[in-house]
Amino acid sequence: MWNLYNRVPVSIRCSETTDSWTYGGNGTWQATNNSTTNRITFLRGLNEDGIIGAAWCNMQPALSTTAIVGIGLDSTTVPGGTMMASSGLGVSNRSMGSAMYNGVPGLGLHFITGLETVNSASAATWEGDTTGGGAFTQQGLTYYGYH
Amino acid sequence: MTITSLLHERIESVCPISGVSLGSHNDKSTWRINFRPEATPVQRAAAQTVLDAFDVATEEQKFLKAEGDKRVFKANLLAQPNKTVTIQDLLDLGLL
Repeated sequence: MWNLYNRVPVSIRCSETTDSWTYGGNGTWQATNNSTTNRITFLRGLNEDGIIGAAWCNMQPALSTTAIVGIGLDSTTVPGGTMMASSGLGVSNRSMGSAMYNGVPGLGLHFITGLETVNSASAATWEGDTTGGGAFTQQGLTYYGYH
Repeated sequence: MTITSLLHERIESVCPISGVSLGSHNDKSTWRINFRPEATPVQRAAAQTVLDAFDVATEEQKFLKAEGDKRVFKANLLAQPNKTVTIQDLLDLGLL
């Protein structure tokens, strides 16, 4: 929904319910957990207001590799964010990567989605919602805009 | 190494895959293999066999035992400050 007058702020969150998955990619991006449901779709009637989208995910890359979280605007293969974080400390090291989109995406129907890749074919383990050893992690994608 | 990456490695040894996805670690009906396009039907069947045979509880026990053995090995090394460390020692500790 989008209003011409009296637009109000809308905040949306999308979370992955899968415990964990693997993906390497060697630089080729895919949507979080290779899933088209990990996205937030929104409509824009005027290209006036900016939006903010953020994606984050815990990951454990293989030794000497770097796992990267991205955020895609209308794409599951090309990151459109303005910032990315990565980690690559190796075996048994879990860390969080995040990415953010902050911009004016244009008129019409759009979506944002979390993206992931590794700078190697060696697969990293990515975590959706995992409970173990007293620890809990939750992958996420959020959107904030005026509608 | 995680349980998920261990499963990935085992399946990858018999079939080209881009990843595995474990919806719930304790429920195999939620597990998914992301095959590469070049994976043949025979390879896909082999991958499914590996998945069916994979037991999380057993693998976790092996993993915990290996980690425990590694800690004991490391403690023994630390108790011998003049011991010469070999390449094999470093491999056993997962440092190479």
